[in-house]
Amino acid sequence: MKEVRTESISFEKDLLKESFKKMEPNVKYEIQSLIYYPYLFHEYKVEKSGLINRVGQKTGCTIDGMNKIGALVDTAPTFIFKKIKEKYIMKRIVNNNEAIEIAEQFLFESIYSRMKIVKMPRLELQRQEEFYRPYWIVKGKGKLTSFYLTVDAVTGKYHPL
Amino acid sequence: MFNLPTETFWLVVPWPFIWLTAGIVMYFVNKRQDDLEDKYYAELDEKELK
Amino acid sequence: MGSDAIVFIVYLLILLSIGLYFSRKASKSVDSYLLGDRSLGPAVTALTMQSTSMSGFMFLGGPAEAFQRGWYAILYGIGDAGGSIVNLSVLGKRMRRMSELLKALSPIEYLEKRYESTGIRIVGAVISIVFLFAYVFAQFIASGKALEALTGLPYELALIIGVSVIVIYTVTGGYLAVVWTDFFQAIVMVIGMVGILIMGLIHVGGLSGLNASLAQIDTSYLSIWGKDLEFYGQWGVIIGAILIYSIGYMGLPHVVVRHMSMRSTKTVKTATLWTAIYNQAMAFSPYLIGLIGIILLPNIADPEMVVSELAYTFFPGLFAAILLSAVMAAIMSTSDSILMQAGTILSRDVYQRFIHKTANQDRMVLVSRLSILLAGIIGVIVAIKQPPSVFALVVFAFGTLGNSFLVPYICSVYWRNSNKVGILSAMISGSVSHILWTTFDWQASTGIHPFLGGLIVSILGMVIGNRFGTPPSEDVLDLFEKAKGPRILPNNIEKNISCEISPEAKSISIFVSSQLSVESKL
Repeated sequence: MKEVRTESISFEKDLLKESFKKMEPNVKYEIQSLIYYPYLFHEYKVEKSGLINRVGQKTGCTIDGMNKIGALVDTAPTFIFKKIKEKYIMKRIVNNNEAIEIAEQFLFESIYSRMKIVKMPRLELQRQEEFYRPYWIVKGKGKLTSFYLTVDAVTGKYHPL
Repeated sequence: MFNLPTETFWLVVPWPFIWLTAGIVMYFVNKRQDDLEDKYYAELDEKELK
Repeated sequence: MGSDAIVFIVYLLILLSIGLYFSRKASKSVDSYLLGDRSLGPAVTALTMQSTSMSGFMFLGGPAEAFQRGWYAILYGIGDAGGSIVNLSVLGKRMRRMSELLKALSPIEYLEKRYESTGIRIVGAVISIVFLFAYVFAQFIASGKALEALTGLPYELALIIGVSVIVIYTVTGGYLAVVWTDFFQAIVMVIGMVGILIMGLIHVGGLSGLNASLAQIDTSYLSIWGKDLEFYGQWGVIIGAILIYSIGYMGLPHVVVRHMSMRSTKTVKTATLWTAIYNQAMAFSPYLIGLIGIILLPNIADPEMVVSELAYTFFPGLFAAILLSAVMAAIMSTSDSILMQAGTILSRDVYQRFIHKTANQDRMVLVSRLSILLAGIIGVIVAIKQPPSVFALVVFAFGTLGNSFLVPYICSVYWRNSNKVGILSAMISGSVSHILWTTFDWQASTGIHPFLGGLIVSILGMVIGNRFGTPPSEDVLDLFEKAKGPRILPNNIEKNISCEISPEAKSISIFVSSQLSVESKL
């Protein structure tokens, strides 16, 4: 057992099953396990020099701990602590320094696309936290097909495996 | 039936019918799977064209 | 002789011309020579799978077993009637996909690439060669006997002539010649078999008449426990007899290769239908004919000659010749497939793999041809020397091959985390136990048929051995998933997929398949 920083589950088993049943009733759903996916959350203070208003605004950026890409921007997740069996925890691949680089790149790109600015603002890293998001593994059994889905237990988004 | 003892009759005679049915059933099961696959690939092609 | 011989010679010439017809195409490339370029449609696939499976055993060994043991023998026919249906349904599509993804041209190469193990290729090649040869010797013996009956020529000469024809069309035309002659021979076989059966039944007064007459001689002929109630209460023997031909074919390399040569996965559905229909006519007939022989030919010297004698008794010379061509058809259609497979293994799995890795296409085709020739020559020599009963030899070779490869082929398509250690354990334990079980007649003391015994041991070998191996590589796992076919999601689910989490989904897939080998349920 390992204690990890994680997020609270908004989509519990029963709710999930119900929602899937509503979406596609002709399938039998089996919610098999809950695995924990690593992310790195970065909180930055943005110093926008030369522009009016909002100095020292805070922003956040989450990096996917397995694939070297950015995942979320501007949301600050609320963390809780939980003890989880190690076999359900995915081992992070991206290391802390790599993550910082990717985060800054990701932030730059997202700032660029949102605001027309000439000079890139200065980013000051406030904190870097590793956290795990729970994902459900769901097996669906239709008449002639069977499939696996993973469902983000926090947002409810899903994708086939 | 056929002058066979009951034991032999029931252990042997149903089988041709069982197998024929199995063959027919599998035909339709496989056909369904093939059709679903075709649909899947057709949709995939559409997506790629877009 | 006379018209019989003419019919038979015409029959042989047809086979030879089919072989020659395909020789140019066959020489084109290794893919063409060994696997017909994966171009075969449903009817051909079904009939070649069936006629390859049904060998000289059908016309010689089967009837003899029924002649000696009564209705018990038909248990073997029950399995045979469904064997190809099971084979195509279980292995068919997935093996077709997997073999193409692995780029395998032989069933042994398939196992090596699936399990990434040279050891498997070596052990697999050795077991295959030894027992395929044993199996084909049984066929050659059968062909010598059948030709002797047909032409009156002495056994040795008949053997050499029969085998020569097989070797010639197989060497020239390769896999395509084998498959298309099989197709033709399957048709001849069913005509012959059903013809003799119908005539026979007419002569004994239908099934009822047959059984009444049998009961008068000895009621135990009608019992599933065998004449003299030999296997009374031994369900292990009964189940083994049914099982051997219902699932055993999935362990035969020269049969399983037919999955690899199908045109596409869509071939399976129609092939299954064809084989279901064909088999009901073919599978039970040899045993019924054997039973008829008890009544009509009670004093026959060699029970393996029941079909030949009945053919001559009922049909005028011309038809008898056609029917005996059917007997030869059964033998040849199995022998050519075995020779082809042995040749493939020797050339692709031994020569190209270990001796001359960069052999070009022409060289490979040449080596394959020489290997087949070699196999034929050795086969004739052995068959001339010492002919044991066809039935016993077929069951022994078949059973050993089946017990060696059945578990590996099924695991290759259904058990994601099966690994090389498990497979090697299964192959070795299965073959060894079957050999011992047969040699020391453990059936007598355990009441369990050798095939069933070997199957249990090979399953244990697989399950235990697998614990000592490492999981397959990511590449192979990826191919395994692909071989299952496209993941078809129901529409409503498909619609609401969130593509943004597709990178997470990919990582999770890998994690789940390699780490969580046992999916626990919360």
